Amino acid sequence: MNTNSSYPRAIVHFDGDSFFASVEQAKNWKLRGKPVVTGGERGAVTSLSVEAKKLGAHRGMPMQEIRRTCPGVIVLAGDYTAYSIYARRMYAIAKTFTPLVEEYSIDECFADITGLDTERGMSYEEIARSIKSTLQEKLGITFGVGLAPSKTLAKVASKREKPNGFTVLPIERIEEVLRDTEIYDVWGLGGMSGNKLRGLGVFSAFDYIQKSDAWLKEHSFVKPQRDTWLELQGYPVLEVLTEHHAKPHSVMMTRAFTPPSTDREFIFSQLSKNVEGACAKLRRSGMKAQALSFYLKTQEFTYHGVQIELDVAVDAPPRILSAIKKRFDEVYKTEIPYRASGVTLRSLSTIGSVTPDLFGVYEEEKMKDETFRALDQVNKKYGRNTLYIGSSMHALSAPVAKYRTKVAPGFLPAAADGKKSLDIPYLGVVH
Amino acid sequence: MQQKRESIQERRGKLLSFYRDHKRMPSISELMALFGLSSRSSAFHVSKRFIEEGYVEKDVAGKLIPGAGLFSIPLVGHIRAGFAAPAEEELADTVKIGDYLLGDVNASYLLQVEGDSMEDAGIQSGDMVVFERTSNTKPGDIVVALTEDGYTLKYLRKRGEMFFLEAANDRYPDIHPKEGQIIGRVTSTFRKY
Repeated sequence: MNTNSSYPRAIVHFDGDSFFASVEQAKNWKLRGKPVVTGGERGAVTSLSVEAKKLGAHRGMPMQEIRRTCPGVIVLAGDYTAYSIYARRMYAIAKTFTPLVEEYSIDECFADITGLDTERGMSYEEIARSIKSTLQEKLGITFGVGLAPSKTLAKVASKREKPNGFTVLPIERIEEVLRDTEIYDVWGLGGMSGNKLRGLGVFSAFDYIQKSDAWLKEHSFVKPQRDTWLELQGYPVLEVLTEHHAKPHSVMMTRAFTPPSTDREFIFSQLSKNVEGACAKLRRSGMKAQALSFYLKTQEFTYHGVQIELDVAVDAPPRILSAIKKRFDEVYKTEIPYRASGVTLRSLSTIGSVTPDLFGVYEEEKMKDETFRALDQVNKKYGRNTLYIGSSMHALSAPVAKYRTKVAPGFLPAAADGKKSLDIPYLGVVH
Repeated sequence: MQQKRESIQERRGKLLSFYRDHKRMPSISELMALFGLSSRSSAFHVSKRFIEEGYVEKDVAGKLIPGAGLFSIPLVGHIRAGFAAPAEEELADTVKIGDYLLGDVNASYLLQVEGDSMEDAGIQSGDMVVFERTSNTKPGDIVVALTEDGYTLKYLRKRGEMFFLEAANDRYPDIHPKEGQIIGRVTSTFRKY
């Protein structure tokens, strides 16, 4: 039993500072100290280096405006392979301290270090600092770190100081810190519920925890907001979800295309590519989906989408694509230029637990299993998109705008076929 | 406290001594007593396991009778005629070349050598260098330092209290690095043709 009164539970949140931009700077020393912005491939900012922020650039600013107003800014296309390698390393390093690590997102993770203090003869603060410095030493990028008794508070803490921050938020400091935490900035209260709370005069996280359980009920704040309310008071409600129990609830794939297009076949082909990718993800996690939605995004950033239920759970594209095909024209309008497409697969179940239907559709789907498993193998061996379904061809043959900065001279052709890259970051030339 | 579950071999031993003592196989309730099981269904489950292992068989009336496996010496794995299949256990002691060349996988990075400053250490232009990002370096290590002109690969040396970087080539001068410039230590080099 743990008797630490400041931390009934000790949760640490790690948040990579300007993660994508930082990885770019770690990969290419020439970018260090320079204003770097990623997201060039989609025309929207995905990350800004500290230097770019200093020039006044911020998220939500159109790329054109950033280029115009920030002299010397370097706009890069995202290198998601590299970001994934760094993310995987981040999780792995954290796991050398405790197996209780939640791989929350590509640039964030939680670690539950409760009880490690007595085990290691170190304070929680020392342990959290030690994980932070190990991450920074091995990855060459900095992290914002927060130590607190709950996940929500740990996230409040890691946000407080940027970049390279370290904030402890023991029970005793909750009031003080929450007084100057905007309700918007609380994990889970950024959207509608945050607006609603502000409408009710709750402006800071401190205002929120002053409210009573009855008040919450009265204004119909239930499960997720009530959990947040408890977590903010220092009661750990949300578990640190290790890989073991973090099964995905849905799988999403989106593709943006530049320039925007009105071509029906091209746009359907983009969706086909989304479906293919999402299905490959499903197969990798051993799951099947029985419901889906697809959407198209117009140039004006409005979304149009449709939800579909399938009669059987699947993990291969054909049935999904024919379902989309039937309803495609409910979404697609000839005269509107579209700039992105996306597919979300839902109602996921693990393969073993799928209930076969009465009409033999499930059996029919099972026949396709082998085909797509073979396809997975080929693509694993020879690189992504070596084999793909016909309806995706149009999307893949479309010219892809090249934004990448030139590859450092002397760059080794990574693997023999040049399609796959090494899983160890290549940092350039050494003299 | 939960007791450690008996292994199937341990249970086979108990079953064998029961048979030697009673000259017959135990009933379901005797199985329960024998293995300390709390329900008939778990005893039934154990009897099924015994059948699978070939320790017991069922006669026409459904009663348990000793199987050939009950008396035989337990084998570790199965051996087929001819050549044995590759054993997982043997392969578990092998390591992939990638892992061999790396130190700490999560801190390893690649660089490519340009120039002849480390020639006398056998590191030539074009060679690949694997290094580990670490602050734990000591004199004698080949280290990677980041300078204003990029990465440099040198021996870390110490004279008195002074650390400096030394090339493995007389034509290069020593470098006196500033604090924090050394970012890691070389774990291996290789050359691909």
